[in-house]
Amino acid sequence: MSAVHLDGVSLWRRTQEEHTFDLKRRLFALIQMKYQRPPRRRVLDGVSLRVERGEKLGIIGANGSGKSTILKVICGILEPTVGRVETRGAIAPLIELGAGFDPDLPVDENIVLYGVLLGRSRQEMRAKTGEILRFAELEEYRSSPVRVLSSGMAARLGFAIATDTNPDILILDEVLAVGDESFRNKSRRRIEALWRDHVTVLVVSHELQFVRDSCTSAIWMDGGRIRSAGPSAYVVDQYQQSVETSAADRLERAKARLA
Amino acid sequence: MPRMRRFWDLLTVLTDRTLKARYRGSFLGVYWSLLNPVTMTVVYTAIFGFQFRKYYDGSMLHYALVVFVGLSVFIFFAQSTSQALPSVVVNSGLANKIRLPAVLFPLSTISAYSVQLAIGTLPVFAVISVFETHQPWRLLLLPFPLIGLVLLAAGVSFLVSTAYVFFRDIPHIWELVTFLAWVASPVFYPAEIVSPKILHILYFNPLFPTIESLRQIIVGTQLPDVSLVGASLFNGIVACAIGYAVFGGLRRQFMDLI
Repeated sequence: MSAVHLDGVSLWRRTQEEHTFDLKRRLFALIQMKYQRPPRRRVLDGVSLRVERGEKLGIIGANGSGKSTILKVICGILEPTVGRVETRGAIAPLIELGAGFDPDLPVDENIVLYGVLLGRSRQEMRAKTGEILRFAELEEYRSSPVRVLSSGMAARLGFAIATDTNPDILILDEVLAVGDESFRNKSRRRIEALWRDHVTVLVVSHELQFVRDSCTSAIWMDGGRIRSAGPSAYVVDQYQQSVETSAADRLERAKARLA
Repeated sequence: MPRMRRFWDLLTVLTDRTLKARYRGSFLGVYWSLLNPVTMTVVYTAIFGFQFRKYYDGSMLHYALVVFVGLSVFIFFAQSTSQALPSVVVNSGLANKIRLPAVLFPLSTISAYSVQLAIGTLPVFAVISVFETHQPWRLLLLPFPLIGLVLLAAGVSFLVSTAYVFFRDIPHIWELVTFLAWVASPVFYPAEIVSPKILHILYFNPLFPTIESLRQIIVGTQLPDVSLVGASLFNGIVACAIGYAVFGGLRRQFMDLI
């Protein structure tokens, strides 16, 4: 049984720029019979994907190719317009650390708040607060508001909370390296430990070398479709070739124009 | 069951966050919420009390208490709904990163105000009722119109927070609507002074049964009318059902617009 299974997933999203958030204007448009169905854009196009338990999948591709959208569909934040999404086990999203913090609440209350948002129970988080503070090296800030933490400290706290769990599926949008050098080593070790476990990892990254080395397999997203899938080295090579070719093409064309 | 449990945990932490944000560092805490209706009651009584007391057994105090009850109900409704109105949009950062039931955002606002209602306003209502009527059994009825009120506010907040996702000019309209509802609620004036034709329209005000039944329980010389209590609960349940249906029906479109 796969950990993640996407079957023919397509997603149309409304384009926000063209939406008028103005009731008066919409009413006038209705009266003048000018109302149109909102324009939609296809951001995922027939994506089928199977990720086995314990697999580490790297997702690569240009900006706007649908990488993060795939993660959101897997997390259940977005629902596919067509197709099916099946996941097995607890999903831990590690998307932009600290998104759930309330700057005015004290650190210990934020730990409970963030942990519950990420899917754990209040009791569990209260029991773990000390441990998390220790890992983040923020014990003396227990009752200060998060507002007074430096951005590095806040990132450390976010990392400590989010990784202090035993997820079945770990979702990473860009690899995490937070804090100063010593904390960076510590966080890397924790990520590596999660990696070694039988956790399924899905990671979006622009660091091709990292994807090649650390992931078992990869997909290359292009215009909302999977352009290529397979072992990570194979997919990264293909992607690099294509990027280099198109860069070379552009260079050629530029030269031709100049000549 | 784990889903219910998770929903409850989420609602608790989000409610807690809202309450703490509101009362940080204030030693009166939740009791600040009484300041607003008390001050306004003093002002209304000073201005209208002399003329209107004849409709309230000739007693300025009765007029003041009636105004206080009506104001507390109305302020709860107006504040909680206008605060819940932008809640879905305001929390878009969170909703875009973590899978959460969107209904939590308006609901946690309403529940924060309900906590305030339960520990700030309800005891005051209870004390007034006992002193005024000397009939402690009336306290048994007291929670029901308040539950109706909370349900009504929740239902309306589902509607307005949905509307705000699509139309960002809703707050201006909502301000006008609540002001109209304020004038159309016989809170600071006796219903008797309104012409019977207009009075029929006022009965459509969904806050009317709540305010009227609370007034009867707390201040009235007449016995509380149980059908009014029922009407208050009924309004709340209907509002909640409609609000939740609309919210749920359009929820799928939220993520593209926030």
